[in-house]
Amino acid sequence: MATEVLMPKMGLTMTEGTIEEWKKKEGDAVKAGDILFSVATDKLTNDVECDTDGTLLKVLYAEGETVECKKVIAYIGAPGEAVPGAEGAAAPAAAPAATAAPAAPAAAAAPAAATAPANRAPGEFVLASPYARKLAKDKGYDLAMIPGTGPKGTVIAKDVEAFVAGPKTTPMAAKLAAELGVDLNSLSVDGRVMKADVLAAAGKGAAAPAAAAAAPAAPVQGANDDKPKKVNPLRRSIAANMSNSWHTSPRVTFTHPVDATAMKELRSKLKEGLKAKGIKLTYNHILMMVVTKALTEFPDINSSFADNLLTHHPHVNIGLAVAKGDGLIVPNVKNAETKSLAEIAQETEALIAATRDGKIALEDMTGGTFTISSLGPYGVTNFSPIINQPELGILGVCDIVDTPVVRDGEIVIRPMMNLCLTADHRVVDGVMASKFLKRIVELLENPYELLV
Amino acid sequence: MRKLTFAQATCEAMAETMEKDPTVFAMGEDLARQGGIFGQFKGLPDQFPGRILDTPISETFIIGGGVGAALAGARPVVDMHFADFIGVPMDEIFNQMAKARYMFGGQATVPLVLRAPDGMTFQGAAQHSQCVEAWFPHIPGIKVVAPSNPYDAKMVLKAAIESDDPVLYFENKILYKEKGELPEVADQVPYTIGKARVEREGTDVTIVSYSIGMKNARAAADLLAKDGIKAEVVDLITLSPWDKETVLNSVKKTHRLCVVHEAVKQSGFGAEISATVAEEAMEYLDAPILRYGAPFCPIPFAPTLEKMVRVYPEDLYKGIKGMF
Repeated sequence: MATEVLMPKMGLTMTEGTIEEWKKKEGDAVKAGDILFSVATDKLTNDVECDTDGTLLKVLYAEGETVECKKVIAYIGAPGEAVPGAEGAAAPAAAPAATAAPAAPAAAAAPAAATAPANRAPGEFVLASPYARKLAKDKGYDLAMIPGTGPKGTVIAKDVEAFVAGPKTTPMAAKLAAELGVDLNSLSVDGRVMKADVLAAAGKGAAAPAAAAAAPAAPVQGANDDKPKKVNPLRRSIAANMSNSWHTSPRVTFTHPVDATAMKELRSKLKEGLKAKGIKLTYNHILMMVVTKALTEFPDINSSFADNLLTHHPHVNIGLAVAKGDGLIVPNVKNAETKSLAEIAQETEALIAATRDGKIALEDMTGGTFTISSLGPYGVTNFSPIINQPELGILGVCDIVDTPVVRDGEIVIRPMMNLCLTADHRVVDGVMASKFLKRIVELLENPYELLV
Repeated sequence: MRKLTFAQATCEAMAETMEKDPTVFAMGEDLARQGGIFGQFKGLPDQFPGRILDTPISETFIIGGGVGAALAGARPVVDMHFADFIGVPMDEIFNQMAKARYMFGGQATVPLVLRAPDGMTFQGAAQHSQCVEAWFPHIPGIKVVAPSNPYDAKMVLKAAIESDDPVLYFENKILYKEKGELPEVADQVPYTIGKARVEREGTDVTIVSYSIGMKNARAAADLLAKDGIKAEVVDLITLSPWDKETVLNSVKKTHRLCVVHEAVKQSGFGAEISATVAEEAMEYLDAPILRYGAPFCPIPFAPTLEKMVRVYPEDLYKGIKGMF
């Protein structure tokens, strides 16, 4: 019996992975410990080792294909050994007469049955066998929506049979729905779901017309433009998450200046001591601790909101946006309210290093309850960050600028820093957001409060 | 059940019909003297003195004489020696044998069987190895048959001799020596020309062949079965008029078609089968049609090269695997 190679689940929240590269070809001999393939999640790319000796008999998914976790993606066994799946035990299941539930390997090899569209450009000719076309027509499916697993990605009969149709949609609507995380089944639309319906669902009511108007048409390609190229999984993930957040959270950004004198003083007094312990202290660490403290006092902000349900999170998992190569990743420090400044500093630096090395675990990037995004080092003095869903707020941290301010009737120069809080107005009203921001400012201007 | 070779089975068919019908006789080269160069008339010259006749080396006469005898009321069986020689009497075949009944407004028939041993033996070379069956289903007025096993060889030959219209009977030279089981005479089921047989039922792919191509079809089906792919194997038996219905029904069930014959692939009979399925059952196909036959070149004499123009079960196996 051939050994199944599964799409690994590399973290609690990982649901699918994209095969970036097969390091071995069909027919290659493999040994346990060999790098078999690399898989990209929305956050990082990992090499996956082979855990058995044998021959790579069959690769079920090509490079670039995205596969659900725990699905069979290849078989390893003795040379010439039969593999189940599309060409073996699954064959009867592929036959149209077989309406019974297919055997497990067949189910595993079958394409993801979902309302998510196959990865095709609008209007792209769909390679499909004539029989698959007939079946799709009989069932009223849009062929363009069905992922193909036959030769050259052809949609064949078993793909149509494995396909679970959602409501009828235009290809553009389906694509948008996938990007925006809109469940097509939740829409009550007479007839075909159009782009505007999806945008209305994503933008919720009044925002819809504006969103629809703003929604870009297919990009126009100028004569001198480069050929459009597919972006990497990280960028796709950022694009989807940001679009989703934009359509999910009605947000307001509140800006508040902070006199950073005390914060600078705190850092300079602690810096050397911590350095001796091998810990490099930055303003971000102090901000993380301060925001954590404030969040414990504002449980409605340390929450998430969906379907009119507000979930309070008992712990503060404070995230920090970290630039990584061509993208952005937000690792978070878990249970930050239980940790000292030194611990937060140490853990944060370790997370940043792991992020930049691409070795970060998925758990460290998920489960955050609030995010800090700092553009201070780039001289930014005001911005409006976008909420990292499903959180309810994000704090933008700006540059510290020596600024003339009035203190006790005198103009003095003080190191001033703007904090920009973007809050989800569905839960966090202006007053709560202001109070929360004010509390952060108090703690930064008088860090002794942290001891209280 | 008795085990007979293909050649013996054809002898039995001859003997049974000759006993029943005194108008049946055979003529060709080396029949009476030698019993046919492949033993396919062995014993018959002694059993039926004067009814198994040797002719000069003149294919034109063999066919022309046969057509004349048939028109005059006999049921001749004439032998081509090698199917490769069939070009010599081509006018007798397609203008006389095939057209006489039509030209005489149905007042005369041509109950003639033309037996044509075909196919690659070993080192028969370019002029003694060919499969030319595809030339004849193009000609209205001739029935074309090509059995694949001893039992069919007998029953198809009997049906051919009993037919009032001319039948071209292709018999493969390698198959002559192959043994197969035949029921006792009383239990034999007559063959109706024009009927194909689903030799093996399957659900995943239809493999259509005839004559020696069936060996590839069966072996490929065995290979596929090991991988859980159930091939339906259809033996066409008759190429004209061929049994479209059986093939189409099978394809509608399996949604995949593979055609194989030993003859050159280009314009081979597989093309007719493929085109018909594409015309009449396109929407049932779940994969492109696969067609196997010899490459477009004369059959080489050199054994190594001869091997290269043969089709092997592994070719079908590999191709069919690629359909899923």
